[in-house]
Amino acid sequence: MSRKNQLMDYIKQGFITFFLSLITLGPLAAWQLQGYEVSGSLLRAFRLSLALAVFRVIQMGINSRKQAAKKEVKGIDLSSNNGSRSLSGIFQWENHSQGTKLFLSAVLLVAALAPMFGGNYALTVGITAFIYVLLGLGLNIVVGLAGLLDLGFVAFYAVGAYSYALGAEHWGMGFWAAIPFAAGLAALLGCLLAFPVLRMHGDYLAIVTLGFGEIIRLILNNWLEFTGGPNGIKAPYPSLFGLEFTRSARIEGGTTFHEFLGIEYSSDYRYMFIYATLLLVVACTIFAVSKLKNMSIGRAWEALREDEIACRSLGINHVTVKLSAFAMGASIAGVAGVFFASYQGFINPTSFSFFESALILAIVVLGGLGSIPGVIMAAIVLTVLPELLRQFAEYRILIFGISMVGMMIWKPRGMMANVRARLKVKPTQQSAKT
Amino acid sequence: MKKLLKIENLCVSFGGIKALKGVTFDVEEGTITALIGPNGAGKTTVFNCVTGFYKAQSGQLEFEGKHQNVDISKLLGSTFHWQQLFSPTGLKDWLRYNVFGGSHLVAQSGIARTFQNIRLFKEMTVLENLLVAQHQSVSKNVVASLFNLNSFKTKENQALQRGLDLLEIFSLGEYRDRLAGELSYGMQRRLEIARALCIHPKLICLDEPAAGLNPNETADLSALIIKIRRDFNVTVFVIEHDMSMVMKISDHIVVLDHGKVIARGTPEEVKSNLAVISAYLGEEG
Repeated sequence: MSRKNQLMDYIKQGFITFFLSLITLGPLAAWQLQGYEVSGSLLRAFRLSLALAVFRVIQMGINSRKQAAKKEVKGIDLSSNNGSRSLSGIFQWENHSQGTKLFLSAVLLVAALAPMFGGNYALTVGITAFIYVLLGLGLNIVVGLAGLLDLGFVAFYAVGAYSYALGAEHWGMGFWAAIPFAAGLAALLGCLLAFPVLRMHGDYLAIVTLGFGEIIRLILNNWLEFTGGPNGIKAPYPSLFGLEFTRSARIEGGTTFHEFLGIEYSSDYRYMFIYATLLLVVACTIFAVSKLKNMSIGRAWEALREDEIACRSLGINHVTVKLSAFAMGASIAGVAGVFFASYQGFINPTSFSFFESALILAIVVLGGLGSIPGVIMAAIVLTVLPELLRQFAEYRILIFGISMVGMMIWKPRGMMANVRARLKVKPTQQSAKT
Repeated sequence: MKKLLKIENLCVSFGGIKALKGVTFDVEEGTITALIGPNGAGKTTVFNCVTGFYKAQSGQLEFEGKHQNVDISKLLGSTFHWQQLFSPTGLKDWLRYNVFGGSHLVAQSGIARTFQNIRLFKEMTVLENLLVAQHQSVSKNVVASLFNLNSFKTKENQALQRGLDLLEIFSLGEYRDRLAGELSYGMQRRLEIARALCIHPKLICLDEPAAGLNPNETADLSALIIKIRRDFNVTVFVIEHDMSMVMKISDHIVVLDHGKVIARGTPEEVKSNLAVISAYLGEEG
């Protein structure tokens, strides 16, 4: 790596650390208790993030020194191999085929334009569909990539939704603070669940996770004082820079969105805001998951699905790999839960029954295990079709079952089966000469 | 010559069956050491102990690892003593080896292995199989990966280059984008050896590498084993039933029968050893 590249890398890393810590720590660090008053000052959050960024750059510098001090790994001598030379050049992974790229951009385009034509109803359907896309992407990591059959995935969804609702009620937590908080809490619970099931496979794992999902639901149902039990709990609507999307401000002296812009009140703005935020989060998740698939952690997940013993023989720690898969999947479900709670405005345990888990699993299996475009397609199909086929509401489960059986017969690998990434090698000028 | 692996008085039993009854031998650095014996003699059990898949009831397994000497049975964790609760280091060790420990620590210390029935990642491509094995040398920084930073790309490209080089050496270069499960049997065997080499081992354990290969392929494999010892600077420890191959490639042979070492030495010594002949052919009269 050249000197200039390295410098650019440091600057980039510094900026990334700064913004990430601002996003995650900002909502917490900005609050300051003075007497009985809580005042917010962004300056503190800025200072903290700046310190973290500087720390990160220094740490990187030390690391690179250490790397340089280490002896270079001996390259392989190919001279004895009958003079044949392996490929070299610029490596690039080709993740998606032309068709899937077209499909993904079409979905994003339609999704981005939908609010202009669809109106309120289409927006709510869209929000539901994208919540299921998020859930599908989360479960896809656990079931599709790491091969750990999880029948209690809805538990993490519930944890996300309830952590927002309860956090708002007890600590006045806002929508934006709730997203990282719910993701973290769900990830923690994912790790908690993963520990006892480390040595389990297949059916046994499925039963334990099923039990876990039910335990969470029963706790929510029966712990009346804390969760409100079957009566449920109110979740506040989201806010944008403190501007609320309600008819009148909840906090005294607060401003609402329509007052701020001086327009008529309409509930559409709220849905539009949730929809836009959700779309952004879904896009980020798709990007992150497809990047993870091409790095060591994603490859370790897939290797674990294929053969755990072989993984161990290669020095892969199966404990941390399983934990990370559960935690990553759970945190995505937690974020989906926050969106669900803020969109519904009210949650109770009936929204988190086993049927939800089965539906999410169906999305992953129908779409194609491990396939990102497949999961997106299946999630949209399974949430939009029931809306289109309202006349056949009584037969919904029947149609659902028949289509599942049909899929398993004609397309056992899912609607859009997972396609392995191919390596493209572009020869550089130097290697082309040799 | 330096002893890379010391096995002393290794005993393993499964219920009432004593699979190994005090096995003692060494593997010297830079050699090709073969472990032979009739079926059920306990060869694979020795292998599984060395690579940390079984835990020996008693006996010593010392390996001169990449960074320090390791006691293989310690890496697998020990039974919990209540005294450990009161000593911080004891508790730390227990947590480290029992909860997060296991055979992967053995692999990280520099012992790679292949399996008798091939264990490839069948639904992944050939190149990906090699990349999975290089998890220790690539960047694990998720943020660096998301933003495609240079620190991530450099290491990833090194891993890719090494994978491609290895495929070329094992003449699998043209199959890099094929699924590993689609390859022919002989190619899968070669790929498994290549994958084991990816973790930069000091000792590579091959469990019956020539099983199911035809004579031509076996000859190629012999040449390949000699070549990897030379080019990759590894010690080879091999279980094999094909005697012609064993006699041709190995520097040192250990013969196992009924869980005991009955002979050790160079191929010539073992060939003329009476105990070995009787174990393989049965005694006269």
